[in-house]
Amino acid sequence: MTLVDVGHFILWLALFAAIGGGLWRLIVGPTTLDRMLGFDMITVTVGGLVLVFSAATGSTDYVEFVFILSTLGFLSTVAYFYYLMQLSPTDTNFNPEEPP
Amino acid sequence: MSWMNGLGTLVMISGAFFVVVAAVGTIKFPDVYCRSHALSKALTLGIMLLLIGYGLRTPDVSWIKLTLIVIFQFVTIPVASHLFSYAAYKKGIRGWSP
Repeated sequence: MTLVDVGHFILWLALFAAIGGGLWRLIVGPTTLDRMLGFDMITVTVGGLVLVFSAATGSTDYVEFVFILSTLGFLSTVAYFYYLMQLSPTDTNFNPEEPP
Repeated sequence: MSWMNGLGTLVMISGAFFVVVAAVGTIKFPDVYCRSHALSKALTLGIMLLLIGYGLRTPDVSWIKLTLIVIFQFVTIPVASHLFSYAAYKKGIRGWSP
């Protein structure tokens, strides 16, 4: 077990802790915007996790996967906000102060 | 090269540190505006450092793709954060006051 392996272990631990924080915000977020914020953070952090995996195995096959993953997360966020902006301000489907 | 490996791992660990800082800000801050602010800044820097460390670690990677991904993250993460704040303001969520 060399020093680089210890570095990989620290990287796995830190990124999984960050994903756990995003999941916690996704579950207990008081409004629906908080949930979407946790989702956005999880998608970007999973891209970082793919980078750590491909650095540990030394392959270059997964660089495009990071690009595709961040694109899908961003596009789903934009689509959700497009739906949210179509609702009128007095719509009963969206109440910002209560969980949906 | 061994020292290149160690340098790349060090840069990746600093990037993971900034990602953890973004997670702590997402958990601890009291408001949607504060949370989106912490997420946008720290996560952009963290993912950029992770990409640069990966490029230093792997010798036969194409830097054009990595530069393209870095530019893409620089464009999309602040746009998503601005969307969060814009939607919260339009829907009438009041800001946190101490």
